[in-house]
Amino acid sequence: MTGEPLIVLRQASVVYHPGQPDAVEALRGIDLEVRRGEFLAVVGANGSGKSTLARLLNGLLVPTRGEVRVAGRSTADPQARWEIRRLVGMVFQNPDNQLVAPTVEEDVAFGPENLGLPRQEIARRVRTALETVGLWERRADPPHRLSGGQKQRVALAGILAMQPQCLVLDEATAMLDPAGRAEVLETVARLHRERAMTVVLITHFLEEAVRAERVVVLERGRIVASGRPRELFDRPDWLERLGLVAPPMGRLAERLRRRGWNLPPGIVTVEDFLAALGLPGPTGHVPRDRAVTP
Amino acid sequence: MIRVEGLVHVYRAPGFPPREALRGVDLVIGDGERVAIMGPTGSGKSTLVQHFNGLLRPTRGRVEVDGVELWAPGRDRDERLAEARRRVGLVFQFPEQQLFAETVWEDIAFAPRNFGLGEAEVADRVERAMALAGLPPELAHRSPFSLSGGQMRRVAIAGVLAMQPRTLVLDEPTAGLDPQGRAALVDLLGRLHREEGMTVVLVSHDVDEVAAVAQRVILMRDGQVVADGPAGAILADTGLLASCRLRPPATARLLLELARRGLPVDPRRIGIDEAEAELVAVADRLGPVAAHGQRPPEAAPAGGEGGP
Repeated sequence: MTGEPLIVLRQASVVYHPGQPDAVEALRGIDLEVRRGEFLAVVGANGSGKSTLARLLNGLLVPTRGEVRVAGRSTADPQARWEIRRLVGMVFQNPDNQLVAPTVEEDVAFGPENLGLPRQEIARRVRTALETVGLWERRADPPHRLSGGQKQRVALAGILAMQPQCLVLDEATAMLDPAGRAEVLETVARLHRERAMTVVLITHFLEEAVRAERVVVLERGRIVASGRPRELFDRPDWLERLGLVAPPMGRLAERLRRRGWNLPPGIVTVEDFLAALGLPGPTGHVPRDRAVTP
Repeated sequence: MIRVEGLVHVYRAPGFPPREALRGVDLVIGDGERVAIMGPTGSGKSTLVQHFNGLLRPTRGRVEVDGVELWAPGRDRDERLAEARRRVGLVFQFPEQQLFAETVWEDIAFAPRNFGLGEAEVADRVERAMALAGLPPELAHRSPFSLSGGQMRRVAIAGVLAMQPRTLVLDEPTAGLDPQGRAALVDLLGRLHREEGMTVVLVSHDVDEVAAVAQRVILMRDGQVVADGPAGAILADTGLLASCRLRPPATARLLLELARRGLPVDPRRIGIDEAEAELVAVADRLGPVAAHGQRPPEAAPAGGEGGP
């Protein structure tokens, strides 16, 4: 499924206000590869460096030391900048800060127009992108009429219209209600599944990160763990020290283990819990990284 | 006590059709209650809570705080409204965006000063509010803008607490905070209720957070109350929640699945302590993974939630 690296970070450090008394080292020597077709989650408390890392991935920020390469080209190379931003699209936290045009359709067309594409090609891309996120029928609406989840899907469509290879979601669901959150995550998961889109999901909701194939945990600017989500999220004490909180099912499992219950590790969702009890989930669904024998 | 009767609120703006945000709401919130108001975006939650202290004027219907009708005609109406705003403190969404002063202390002191209190009383209230909100005293002279998101939000809440309201109403108090910021805020709300006897009303989308904080849930949709009752009963009602674009908390979903398979568990027991007790009670029917017999928990945390 996953192939050669699309994005490579080598000893990447970011210092804000370097040389000044208020200098802050937001990232310290990050080594990370994002492989083509991979679904990677990055988790960490506020202030751990997650958003700084996101901004390195498409060259919005260039590392103070070290190097970031996207599809082989350094983000520090000014000639590669626009190509890198096209390849790696970002969705940010606040849906209201990302939409600029008077209608949904014009908003999605904004990026392809800037690429100088022919009119027909722009129209084709806008339609495909809006159909992909399920908002083609809302194309004539002003963005402010949409719900938060719909706005984020429009932002996503605007990126898809650029035909990127990687999507970076920087806490893109943090300001949405649960239904809006589910809409955005489903759309992204589908793009990954059906089109092998590379996805980097930056979040502090561990229930969201569980969908990823691999998770990287950041603490004070360093990567402190990397692995499959269920291997990492089953350690409530450790998560708490990192400023994260285990999901309710993880905490419940931990309490029962202390009572002597022989529950397997890696319980994060309700489906995991039911599977651990030997009961199939509501849809007979077995979590994917559990079905695979290591 | 807050009493709302036949409350209708219509927003009018030039160039737009009028929008009926509340369409006949009746409810009473008693002293010392912990109530969550839930519902999809646009259901009228935020409009409703702005009526609790007279920030909005009803299009129709009435609002009472401690037996005093806020909007009844009369010369003393401004005084009634001022008193309601003192008794019912309202914390808006993303309240840290409204911080403005150069220091944390000055920000929290703003409302009590405006209220005409003497400097000694103001100082006393600021210190108390900071302690209540869990802000260490050494932050008093820092700029609020140098703090973390969670701390900034607690500064904004302390600014409301400094008015010493008996009821605290919070609109989406944990939105956008990281998990530890959220846990600290949930803890703060519990403390205000337990130790200060405050009435706590929160607007929230987060069912797990509501399961931890509220005794009662008021569910809204399209400007009306569609359900009002004990938190456990409402948060275990999958169909009702789905009609409001919500789903039960993880604890309720697990218990519902077990109940569906014929196990005698009560899905309304949504607190993590309660859910644990429900599972332990049916351990002998859960197969080999469950511990049987009366083995006591090892190193169980003293009193409730959290780590070891």
